[in-house]
Amino acid sequence: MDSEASSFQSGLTGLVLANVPPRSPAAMPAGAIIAWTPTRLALAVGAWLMEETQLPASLVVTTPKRRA
Amino acid sequence: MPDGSLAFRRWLFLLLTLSATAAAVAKLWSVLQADGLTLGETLFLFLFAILFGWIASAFWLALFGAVARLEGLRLLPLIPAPRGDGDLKSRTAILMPVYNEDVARVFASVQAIHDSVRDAGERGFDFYILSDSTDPDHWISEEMAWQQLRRALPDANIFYRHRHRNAGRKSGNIQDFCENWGSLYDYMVVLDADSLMTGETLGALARLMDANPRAGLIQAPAQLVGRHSLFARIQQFAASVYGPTFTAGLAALQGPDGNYWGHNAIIRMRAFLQHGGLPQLPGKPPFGGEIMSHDFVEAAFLRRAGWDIWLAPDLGGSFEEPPPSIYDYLKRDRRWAQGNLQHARILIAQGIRLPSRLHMAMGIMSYLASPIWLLMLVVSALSLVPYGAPAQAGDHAALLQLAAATVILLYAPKLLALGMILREPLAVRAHGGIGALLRSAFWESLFAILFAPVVMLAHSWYVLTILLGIATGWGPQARNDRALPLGFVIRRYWPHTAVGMGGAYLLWRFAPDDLAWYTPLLAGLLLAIPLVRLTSSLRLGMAAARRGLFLIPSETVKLPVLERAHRLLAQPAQETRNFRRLVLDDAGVQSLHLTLLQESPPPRDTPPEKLAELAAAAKRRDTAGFSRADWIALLSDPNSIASASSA
Repeated sequence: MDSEASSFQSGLTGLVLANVPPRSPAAMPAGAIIAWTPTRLALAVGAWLMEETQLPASLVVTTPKRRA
Repeated sequence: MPDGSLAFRRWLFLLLTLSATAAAVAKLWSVLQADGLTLGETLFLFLFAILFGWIASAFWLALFGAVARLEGLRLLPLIPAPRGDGDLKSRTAILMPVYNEDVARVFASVQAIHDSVRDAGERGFDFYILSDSTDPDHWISEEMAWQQLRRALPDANIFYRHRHRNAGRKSGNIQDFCENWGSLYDYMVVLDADSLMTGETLGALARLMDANPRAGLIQAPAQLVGRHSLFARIQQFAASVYGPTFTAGLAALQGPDGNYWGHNAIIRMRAFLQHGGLPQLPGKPPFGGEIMSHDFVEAAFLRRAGWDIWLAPDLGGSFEEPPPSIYDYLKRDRRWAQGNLQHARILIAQGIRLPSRLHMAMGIMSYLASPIWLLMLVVSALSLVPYGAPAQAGDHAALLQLAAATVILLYAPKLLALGMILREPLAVRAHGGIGALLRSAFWESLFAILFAPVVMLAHSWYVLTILLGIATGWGPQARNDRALPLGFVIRRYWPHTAVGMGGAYLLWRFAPDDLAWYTPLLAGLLLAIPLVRLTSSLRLGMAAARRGLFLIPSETVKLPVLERAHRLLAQPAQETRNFRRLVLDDAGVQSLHLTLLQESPPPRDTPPEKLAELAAAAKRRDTAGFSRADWIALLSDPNSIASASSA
């Protein structure tokens, strides 16, 4: 098709292009929406409890081993 | 974790809201429990607690906003990037997704924004018109308008892409861009077809993103501008006067746990590519399928991944147009109601941060509040609760106190916001002066009283139909001011009037002492038809403007980007014509169309024999019986176009 063709109807003469840049495909992963189930809820509560009750290392008391 | 002062503000807000609600509920309970609580009274108390908490939260939000402004709190505590740093190093894509929109308006906006960016001396901004238009005339008209714009601005990077299947609607449109060209850019700014932003603001947003690498998204609140119907002018005025105080309150409480409102925001491309993808929800619409209100969910996903989401309440330079009439406003609300209620599935999902859950919960509540209010009124009107004439004098006083508290909570935010404006002489002048400002505020409040019950009934209906599983589509919005025909308004709003008449009769017949309490509500319903019709009027809108009513800064202090857009729109547009036929009859249009098809090849899913049939009919110019799908199939196939054309 002659891109320089003139038209008296549209007035479009001499196309100006350089349209979209070349595609650079990159997939967009869909975010996860995970519903709560009783099992997941129980595990999450358990993990939270463990985290809340775990002592920081500085507070852990250790007794040195006695040498025989 | 939020910093100490932010955490303090949040806890204080929660404490104040709960305290006010608890006090009100306790007061009402003391009245109702005097002779034992019935089931109806318990239900009433429960509904009252929810609604009172809702309006109390709005009150405290406004108060926080007012205090934040008075104290000069830094509402966007990001590292600023001074303008003097030179040209932006980053690249930003400005996206204009369109779907069968007014072509002249879209391209006028794009050109106005481009010109504003150029005049601000900013570089590094590319423009993409991302078309999902399914109407063939819109499609071809867009191509021609884009070509004319490229000729007017030969040095500008303004691109046009037509998507042939609008999977995922707007969010799918944006995703398609991101997947194909997103990696070329550091940021993107998503616009709506009626959005405008200034070059200064766009530059400022990009610099803020450059200087703050943890920022995933910065939302620039859009001021409502550009319309002239009476309804639109009232909306524009209300947003201009009351909006800044509320957004300041939101910013003061959100911090980096902000939200995304779908447009007029800058987004970090890397963050969005990794975390902005939306899943399909299981099940069918309205609660399953594509996520309709994608913005809240995208923000929640970004936040979940650790990106900061900010609101920039003082940036300015960000605009959009309001719906031109109550009908268009409520039509949009039907879609938004469905989109927000759909968030209930995500609200309770794992991994979403609490502030994001609260954003979704507030969005849901903004629609649930109406049926809750309606139910409360029905329970009250059935005399299950002695609303107007309690037996004890003390009860009467208590109910009056509650009514007064409710009125204060409803109106104090507006008075606060008005007070904030009155402190600033420039802002007062920008709204037409003190007299005009106060008169406008009075009339706006009167309108709001009449409008509220119309919205209540509409929203209640929407929620009911959504819960019954009736989904709606996401068609294009009305973007032009036009007065609604009276017959059209009567057909749409006679139910409101009927409900008002029925309610008034029942109250007069069975509870005449309570009638006074319901007058504002009944007035809005009884006057629904004239309210909708008159407020859609351009003549009344312009008359109000001439009298200095509902003036906003964009009308008194000129906005170059808005003026430019309006001047471009006023230029002679492409004549209304059969654009689809031009592809067959005009060599230039055909050449342009075929070249663009080559760049974005449509899927070949029309059977060859069907295409041959369409091409043969088109060659004879026997196209009167073509459906929209037939035209799309024909216009999507270069071979069929070539064989059918006379160009």
